[in-house]
Amino acid sequence: MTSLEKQQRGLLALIKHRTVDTDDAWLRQIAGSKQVDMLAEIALWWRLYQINEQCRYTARLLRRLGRYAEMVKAFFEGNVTSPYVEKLSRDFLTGLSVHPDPLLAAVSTFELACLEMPVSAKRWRIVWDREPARVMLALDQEAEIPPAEADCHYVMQVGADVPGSAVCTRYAFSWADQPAR
Amino acid sequence: MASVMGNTLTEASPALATTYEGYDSVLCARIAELVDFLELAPDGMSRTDGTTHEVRPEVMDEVAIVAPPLNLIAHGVGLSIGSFDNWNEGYLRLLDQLFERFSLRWHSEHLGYTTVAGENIGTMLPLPRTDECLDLVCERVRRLQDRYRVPFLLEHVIQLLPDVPESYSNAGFLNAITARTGCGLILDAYNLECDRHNQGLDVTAFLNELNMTPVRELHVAGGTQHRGFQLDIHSGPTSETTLTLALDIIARAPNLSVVTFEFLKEAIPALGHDGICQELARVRKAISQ
Repeated sequence: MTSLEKQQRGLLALIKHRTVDTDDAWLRQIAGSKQVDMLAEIALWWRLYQINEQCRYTARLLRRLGRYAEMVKAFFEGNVTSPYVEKLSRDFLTGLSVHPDPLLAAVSTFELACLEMPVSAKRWRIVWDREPARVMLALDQEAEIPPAEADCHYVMQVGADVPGSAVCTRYAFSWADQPAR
Repeated sequence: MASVMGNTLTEASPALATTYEGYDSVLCARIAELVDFLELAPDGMSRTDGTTHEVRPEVMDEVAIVAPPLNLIAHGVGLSIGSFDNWNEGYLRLLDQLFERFSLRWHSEHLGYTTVAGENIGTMLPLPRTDECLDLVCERVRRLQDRYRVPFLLEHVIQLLPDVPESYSNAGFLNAITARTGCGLILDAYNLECDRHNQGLDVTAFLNELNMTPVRELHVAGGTQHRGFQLDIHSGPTSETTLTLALDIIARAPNLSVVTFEFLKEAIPALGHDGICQELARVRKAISQ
């Protein structure tokens, strides 16, 4: 490994708060410095900004949950993030689309589908625990998000081949009967 | 002092340029009335799915309306010319498309890196000023010069971290690159002020040591301080101190032909169209004295 590779890999690790196991005296000198902290803060600040611009609804929901900065930070530091904002955003949403919180999973999957639909023939099937139109309207207007509905769920199909790009059907089942996602 | 007005080189004050990244045709039309050059940002004008890269045709259409008579130059942030493993080939796809559509006077990049082994580091870092980096950068500059038959310029970036051991001086490293490759330089007056604030850079000594002959373009901008650091976020009007330093550089650089007022598109709401136009008029007045 050249000294340049060692330094660049080391700085990447420092900025992303990963373990740096190095014999490089310069890297050891700057580890934990206020300069490295500043670089990490700048890097995170830009990711917060970019994801907020590209993933507006998911970002708003995460802010409501008080978890926006935490989730973006975890994503940035824990993944091989792309320099391209489009891919960065889609990777972020893809990660959240399997989140155990059903509302967060649904909103992020819906936003991912909207971003990918113009360039993808894929069809997305999204299960919601409350009426999606009311959720999106609430996020759009910064209003109160409706509560989960215990007696039903909604199955949304999204895709370029879907009439109107999206259709949603309400099923008055219990959650125990819900079809697998 | 060489200047470019239209397509004609004249002995006068430097020409004026500013940044444009698209999707604001009203601003584009207004600034086109005030500048001689438009600095296009390939990265900011593009879209990608991660594998294919495209300059948005609608943004190129916006630019085509104002050029000519404006001269066009391209200034990138995404090439990552100093990454140990490779530069960003996707950025070159964008440049290819711009060169196919427009006649660019020159193109430029930052002397730094933004990716490591394909992973985004989230910011731009300067290169260690070592022989290893000198060899790497010069080889890549030559490839750019072979690929695009217009001048290529490098811009220094701000430095927050302490120097690595056995470094060239700031100016010495730039001198070595330009001597080996014949490439041009962009000096950024605001970046130099950041380095003075953050690193204690002796700007006068830097300018005294730097070979000013390759300096073709000068950037001015305004930024912000955060936690004691002066940061190169181009978010505000140019300060008087930056303008004063800019005038000193203009006086020293015999081939400097363009002064570019830079701002991030994210700063447009805060600066406002009127504010940007006022700033362009202010910079024009300052560099015309």
